[in-house]
Amino acid sequence: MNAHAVSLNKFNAVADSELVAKAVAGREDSFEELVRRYQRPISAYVYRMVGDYDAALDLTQEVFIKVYGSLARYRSEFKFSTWIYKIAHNAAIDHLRRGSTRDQSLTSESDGTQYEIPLKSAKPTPEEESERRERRTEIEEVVSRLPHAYKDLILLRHSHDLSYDEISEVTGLPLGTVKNRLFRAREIMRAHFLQRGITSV
Amino acid sequence: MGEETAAYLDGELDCGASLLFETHLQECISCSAELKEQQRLLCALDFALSADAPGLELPLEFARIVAANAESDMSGVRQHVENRRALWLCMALGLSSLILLGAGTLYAAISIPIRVIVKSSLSMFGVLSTSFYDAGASAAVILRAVERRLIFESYYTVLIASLFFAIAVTLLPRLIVKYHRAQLTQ
Repeated sequence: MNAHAVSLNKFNAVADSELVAKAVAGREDSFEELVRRYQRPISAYVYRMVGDYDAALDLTQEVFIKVYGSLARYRSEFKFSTWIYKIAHNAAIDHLRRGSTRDQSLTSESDGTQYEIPLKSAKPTPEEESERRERRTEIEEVVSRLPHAYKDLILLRHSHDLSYDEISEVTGLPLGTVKNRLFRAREIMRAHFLQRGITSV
Repeated sequence: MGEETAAYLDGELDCGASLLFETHLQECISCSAELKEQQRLLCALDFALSADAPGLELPLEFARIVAANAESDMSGVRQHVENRRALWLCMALGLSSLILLGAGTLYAAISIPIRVIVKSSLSMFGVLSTSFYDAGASAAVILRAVERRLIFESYYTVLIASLFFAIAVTLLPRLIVKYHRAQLTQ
């Protein structure tokens, strides 16, 4: 634990791009530090995208292997976080396409009016769990049932604090589309919360 | 307008657009209501999604394992040192294959002409020996005819005829031997 704290301290002030440069030069601990920095956000993003624990772990590892394989091609004028999210986004989308997973879509992209969510009965929440916890689970569930194209943007925006520009770079979508889809995704969710009688959201 | 409200709340409007939007908000009741609605939703989303994904517990030493796996993954060359080494290796391989190719061509270039020359000279020799033999044989036949007519007519003709005969006799075996050799070599 102590050694861990020391190693964190050693790298804390170092910028991502500096760590990348060191990793490219062959410093293995620099790459490990990069993994340490991004393992949580990347695995959380991937997990929420694919909704499967084992697949999320595999994909997260795959993302870091890809990152390592293309470190030399990373250009420091771009934000490292945007770059790694882009790789994670592509990995998640590829995985979803490969499995053509059950898209429990709320709606098709073209019509914006029907917000039907095939609801599974809400998970039984232990009684001792606070209302906040319940609310969080509820929102999580609604997000998880968004179509991939919307869920992706909602996660990047609200879970990972990416700007519209960064989301556009990560997903390869035009800025206008990002803006529009984010708005529509929120509308879908709002309509759904109203439908479920959760008006306080 | 809802889209603009969302962009405003996300801090994605530039200063000018923000000011315009705020001025509009003061006048428009429905837009300020919409703003509040959206703001509530955004807060809820930020609150719910800010934490790590529920149910995703990373294994112990995940970073170390992943880093080790990435570093031992040979599918890509990533370090400059490796790049350079790979370049040298490629150059060495290219050079050696060129040398091998050159040697092969050289062998073909030398051996094939030699074989062609030997073959053609052999056949030439064959043709020459056959024609010499034919010439010799015909000369002998002619001589025979001439001999019969000129025999004993004069001393000189006898002499010439015997000379021709002698030449033919010495020439003929040689021609025969040459012919057989040519046949053998062919």
